[in-house]
Amino acid sequence: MLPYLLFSAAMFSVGVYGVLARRNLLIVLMSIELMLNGVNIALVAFSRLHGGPDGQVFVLMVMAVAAAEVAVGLAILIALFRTRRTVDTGDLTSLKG
Amino acid sequence: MADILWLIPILPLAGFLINGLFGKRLPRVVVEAIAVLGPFASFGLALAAFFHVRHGGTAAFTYFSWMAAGEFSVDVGLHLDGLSAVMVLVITGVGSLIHLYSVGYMHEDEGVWRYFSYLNLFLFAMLVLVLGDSLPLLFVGWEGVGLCSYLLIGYLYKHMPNAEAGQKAFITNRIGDLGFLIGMFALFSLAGTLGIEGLRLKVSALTLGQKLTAGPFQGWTAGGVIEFATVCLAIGAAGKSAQIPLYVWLPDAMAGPTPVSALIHAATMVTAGIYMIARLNFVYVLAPAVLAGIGIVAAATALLAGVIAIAQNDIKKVLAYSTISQLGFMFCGMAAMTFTAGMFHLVTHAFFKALLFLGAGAIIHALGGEQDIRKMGGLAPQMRWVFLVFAIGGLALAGCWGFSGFYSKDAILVGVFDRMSRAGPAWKLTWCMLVVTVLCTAFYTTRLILLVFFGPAGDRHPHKTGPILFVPLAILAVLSAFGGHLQEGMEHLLKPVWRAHASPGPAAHHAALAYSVGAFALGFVGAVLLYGPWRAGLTRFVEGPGRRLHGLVANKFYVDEIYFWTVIAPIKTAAAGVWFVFDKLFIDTLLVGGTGRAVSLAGGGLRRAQAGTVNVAAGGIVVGVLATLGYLLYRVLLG
Repeated sequence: MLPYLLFSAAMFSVGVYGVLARRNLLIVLMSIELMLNGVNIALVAFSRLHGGPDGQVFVLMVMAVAAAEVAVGLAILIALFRTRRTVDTGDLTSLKG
Repeated sequence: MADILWLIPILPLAGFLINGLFGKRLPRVVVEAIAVLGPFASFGLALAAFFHVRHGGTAAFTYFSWMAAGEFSVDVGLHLDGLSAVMVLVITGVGSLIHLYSVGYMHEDEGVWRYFSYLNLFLFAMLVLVLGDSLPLLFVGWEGVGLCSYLLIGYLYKHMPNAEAGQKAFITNRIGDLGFLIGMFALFSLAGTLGIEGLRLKVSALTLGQKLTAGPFQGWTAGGVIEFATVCLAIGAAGKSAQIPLYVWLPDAMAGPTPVSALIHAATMVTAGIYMIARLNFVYVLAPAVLAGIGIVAAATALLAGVIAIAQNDIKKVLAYSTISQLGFMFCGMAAMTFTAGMFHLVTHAFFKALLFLGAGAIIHALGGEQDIRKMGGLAPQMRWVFLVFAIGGLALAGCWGFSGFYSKDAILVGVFDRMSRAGPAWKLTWCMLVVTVLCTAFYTTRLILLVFFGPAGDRHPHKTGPILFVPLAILAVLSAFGGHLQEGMEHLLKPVWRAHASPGPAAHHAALAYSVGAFALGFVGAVLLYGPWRAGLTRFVEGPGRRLHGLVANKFYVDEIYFWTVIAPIKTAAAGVWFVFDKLFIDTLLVGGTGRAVSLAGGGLRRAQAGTVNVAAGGIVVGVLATLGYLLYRVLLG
């Protein structure tokens, strides 16, 4: 059990690191995918442990949400690139107060 | 008398208010008329008051209650007796003449309304000083004249040294004022009142050896408190009347216009200290040791100033030092308990010193602002009338037999000699210093007149002295010449005021006369010889072996420099240190600047969180989630 959870945590952490440290929006999106999939692994592992279907159902749910998120995210990214000619998060500071 | 007495000080005050508030918009003639009429009207009333007193009357009026707190209460009231009548007469008389003279002297000045309003305010303050019936009211006048002195010394304030001289006078006077205040508090704690009549009654009833059982002076004897109070008050008098150690402001005060020097810094204001001692004579006679000390200090002042005056080259500085010297004489008269002699010298000095200053003003005016006596000379044929009155003033100052100054100075010397023969060795020193001072006075006065009026005439054409300048000079010259005959009248007028007074025997009279005439003759002949036939020898001495000595005297014994290095520089350094540590570091940097910097730093830190970058915002989310999770975990693990 433990190796699965450790692997899941490691994958999630790599995703967090990517979200925080990388400045290319594409890679940030990919990192979010990594985080989601890290969680997915944990869900599958617990589902197996408990012998119930709930975890696997959640995984499918997450995958569907992730697909939707990627679609919307990539669309925003493209729209951003068109208007700003950049996908560097350092340059995208219009949220600044 | 009650219905007109208050008008005497109020009339100049009205002049001050009108000229001070509206003078800028009034035509010059109106300003001058208002300024001159007030003092002359006061003088008329003062004459009426004088005759009232001369016929044996005194008058005391309380107009309203000024402040009352518990047992302490002060009323505003005026008190007229022989002493205040004499003072009022001198102040308004000499003051009126000087106002008149100022009209001519200041005719080129632009802001003359300011000048005249200050001058009127000065008269008001001085009259309050001499008429006030309580020490606090006297102190109001005391401070008022100090303020006017400051304002008028710095009248031409655009010239930096004038403004500095004004500040020097004011600050030096403040030191004395502190003494005055402490002395006043001491008297109050002893007598429980500050009214002069009340003080007189209470102090007369005291048993000097009695120990006080309560109050701030618990454990002191009443006599000890009296001595303490008189010393403090004498410090106040030394500040106002320019005695050692506080005399340094007076020579610098000559930066003011010459009529101001005549009125404030020679004839009236500087006599405030003398007046105060005369007014409190009933306190001072209880402290003979203090009086002896005052005598020594005053005689030392007289001698020091007399010696310094010998080597001065500015005509007004010579007169300023002679004023300090003569004030020393007056203090000696007070100290010897011959109060009448001191007051008599005050009056004659007011005449001849005002005359000398106004005469000097006429000379300076005629020479277009020249004050250096080395550049004058030979003026006698060019300015015959001014020479005549100036010579009368000079002879009166020097104490030449027959002139007013001789009689008053003689009366003081008689008193001091009498005191010496009765009260012992401390007075011997005082006596010797005074006799040498008489010699010095004769010497520097003769030197001044010789250098200004005789000798080779330079290539210059003095302006004519107009009648408005000359009339006051003529009146003062008559008073200076014949003022000596006022002695008996003053004796009669002032006797009721003194609590005790010495009446010297014939031996003192003979001795004083002999020494006085001898010292005058020696000084006079010495000056005539040194600045006449022996001039070359004198020049050789001053430039050769006597160079050091002459420099020492000409630089006023470096007293100003000594004060600078021992008092002013340390205070300034300490003040700069305190300013740097407390103001600059503690308040400015730590408290004010520190608060600002802390807010700015905190803001700067938080500002970075608002960078608007996605990563930072995401970091915030992560931190938040972790914190929440950590908290939950903590709750779960610890139950």
